[in-house]
Amino acid sequence: MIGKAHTLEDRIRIVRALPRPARLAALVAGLRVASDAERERLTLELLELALLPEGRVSARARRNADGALVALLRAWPSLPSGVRSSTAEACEGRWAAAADSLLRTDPLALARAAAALALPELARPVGAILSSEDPAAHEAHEEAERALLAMALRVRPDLPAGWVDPSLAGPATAPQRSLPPDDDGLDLLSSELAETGWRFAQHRRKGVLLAALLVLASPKGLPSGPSGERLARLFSPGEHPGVTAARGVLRWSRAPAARRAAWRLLADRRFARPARDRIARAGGTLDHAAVLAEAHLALRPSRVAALRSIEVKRTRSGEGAEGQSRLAPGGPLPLPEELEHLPREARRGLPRFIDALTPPGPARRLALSPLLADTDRLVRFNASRVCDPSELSDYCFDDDGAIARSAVLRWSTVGAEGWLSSSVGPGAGQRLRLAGHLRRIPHAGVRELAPDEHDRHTPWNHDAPSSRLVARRMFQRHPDAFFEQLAAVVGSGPIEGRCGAVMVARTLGVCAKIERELIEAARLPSGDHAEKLTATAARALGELDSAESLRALHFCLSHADGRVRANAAEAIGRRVLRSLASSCSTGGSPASGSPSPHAQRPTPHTPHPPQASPQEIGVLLELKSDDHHRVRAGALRSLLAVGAASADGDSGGPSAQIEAMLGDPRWAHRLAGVWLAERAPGLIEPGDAQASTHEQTRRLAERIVSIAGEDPDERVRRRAMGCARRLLLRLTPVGSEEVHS
Amino acid sequence: MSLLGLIAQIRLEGAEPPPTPQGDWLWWVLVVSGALAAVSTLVTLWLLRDRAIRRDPEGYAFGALSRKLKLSGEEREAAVRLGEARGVPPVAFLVSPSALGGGRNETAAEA
Repeated sequence: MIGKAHTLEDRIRIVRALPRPARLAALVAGLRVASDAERERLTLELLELALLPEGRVSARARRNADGALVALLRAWPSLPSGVRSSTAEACEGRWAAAADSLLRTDPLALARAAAALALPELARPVGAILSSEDPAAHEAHEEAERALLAMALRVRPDLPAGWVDPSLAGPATAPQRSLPPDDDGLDLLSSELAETGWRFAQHRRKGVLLAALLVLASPKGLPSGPSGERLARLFSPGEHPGVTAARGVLRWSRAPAARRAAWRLLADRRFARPARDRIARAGGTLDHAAVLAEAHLALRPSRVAALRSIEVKRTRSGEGAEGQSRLAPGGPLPLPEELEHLPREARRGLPRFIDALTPPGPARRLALSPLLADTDRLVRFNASRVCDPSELSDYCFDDDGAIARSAVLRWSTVGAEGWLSSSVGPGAGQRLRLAGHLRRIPHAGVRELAPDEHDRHTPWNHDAPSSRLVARRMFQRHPDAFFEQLAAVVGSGPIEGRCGAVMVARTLGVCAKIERELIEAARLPSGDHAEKLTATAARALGELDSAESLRALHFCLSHADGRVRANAAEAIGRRVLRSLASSCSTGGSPASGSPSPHAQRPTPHTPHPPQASPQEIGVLLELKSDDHHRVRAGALRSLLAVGAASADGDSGGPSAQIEAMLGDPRWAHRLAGVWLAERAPGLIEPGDAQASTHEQTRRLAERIVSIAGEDPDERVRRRAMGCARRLLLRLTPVGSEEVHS
Repeated sequence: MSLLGLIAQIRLEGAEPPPTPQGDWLWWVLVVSGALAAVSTLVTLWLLRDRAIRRDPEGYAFGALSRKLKLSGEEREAAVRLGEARGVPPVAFLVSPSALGGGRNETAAEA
């Protein structure tokens, strides 16, 4: 080592003592051989030389400082990246003069420095390099082209340098991009790019046109002055030397930045045709990412209108008709294997872009189907919003609850026109199965929606109005299929479903069509919750008049379960009542028992079968004393309905029978007594003035009121309270204020 | 008597300047002309140095740095040879301590 005893700082101290020209020469020379660590220190020394002192500056000092600036500009590519930005900012506004100076001596170094500095104020000297017709200046022209691209990148901070020119993407060659230019800088750059672009025939550098294209498609917009207009005219159809090349760059440039520019310019009619051609063609992942990351621009209708003329082609990967259809490579949409290389933002925009392209159904499915398994939830969500309805069911089972719920809401027929027809159509079974699966999905938000959707596709849920509507529609449109399904559902399956189907049959009045299944259900052995079905079937059998159904009801009367016996008793009561009504309409009379005050008493034997036999009355009288409260209340209600409550010789009227229940020491019987008091037919009818004056009824009402206040059981009191209120309402003439008080 | 002989006689003998008007005038001429000669000499020297620096700033810096760093003749020769070989002014190797041995590998190998 030469002078090894001296450190860098010692040497710099010595250099500082030199006259300025010698100091400058020493630093510039040292910069050429210095190590990376030393170069930064030497650059700072050089920068200190280049800075102008504040106040009045002599011509000699200015000349020395400009010389240092030129030296810095010349050495710019070798300057450490850590001091470049601070150097560029420290000497802001003086680079153009230094560049003019360097242009005369070393245009290549100037072009290289301009490519690294990327300052719009250097656009004019760089453009001057491209004006040179010296054949030896080929390398300088290349560098000048790169410099203009780097300057355009300053205007477009959204673009990675590699999207414009791969040579600009290296760490050593990356241009300064810290601050976008101000309006003056943009105006200067636009002006110079337009000027250089119009001289395309002279230099034949397409990078200049690409740089102009990038500035043209800047989100900030063009300068409003003549420079911006001139730049726009460069790409507009017209008679000028650069138009073919300029529109060719927009149409054919392989740079991903050009595709993004095309995507932005697509909305402008002047550039729409070449821009559309560029959008229709993509050369790789970056090309797709350039457009898809800004898929929100598809919100503009004019852009979408231009997109619709792009054809999405398909190809077959195999031989013959069995070959698998797939998207053609190089088209506007990414292939499935390219998706994993796309950035997340681009994948998120893909569904919107596909929707804007409006490809035919198969191509649309091919493009969207890979997104179903995307790792990003927003990608899947966006895809679910635009996917084909036939594929929506897949998104209903998404891992993400929000996506699944959104898909279910879209898949749902709520608010859809003609949903009822589709619910009874051939595809209803599949939707019903899917809705059934959705009821067991882990997401609570989906489970909340699924039952309603399920009801809209099944006719067998009696509790849901939509389900009953489906049942009625199916009954009207396809009665044979309806009865076939009804018999099948009642005959087998889960107990809940069978009960619901029986209830639907009762609602529609078609129990006779499933009599055999009802009788089988009524005779089911106990266990596995079969009692509920048996009880429901027993109640439905009350709608029938056949001897077989009556035998089944008698079988139910001996059932161990109280609900079954109670329903059977009510069913027999209805049969008796119906037969009495039938007899009355033909002039008959009831079988026996004391007359009801409100029912016309039929004769004991009517000639029109079926009739209310004394045997049935006897059965009801027997059940009147059943230990189960519901059986007792049901039998009594039936007897009251047919006016035979005292047919067994008990003293007192209907109210006395009810009072017997109300005074029962068992709370359940008292509860059933209250229920019966409110519903006993013929005892109290709404608005019946005679009944309101009836002594027994009034006494009963008073008894209910006293139970509401004094019964030891809370449940009985609560029900009695409601019952008393309703009884009083019935007893009180309409318009009276007594009840409300 | 020459001008220098006159001055020497005055200083050596401690004689007073001649009280004649001609003697005063001669004294001032001597002083002013001496000062002018000194200034012009300095300016000339400075201009010569400045010209030399402008003509060959790297050479000037090389010479100044060599002196300050107290380089031997062999070391100067080595720097000059290396500079010629690499197309770099020799002063570069005096500014950067790592340029010869330690900084860049290729430079060290050349050294």
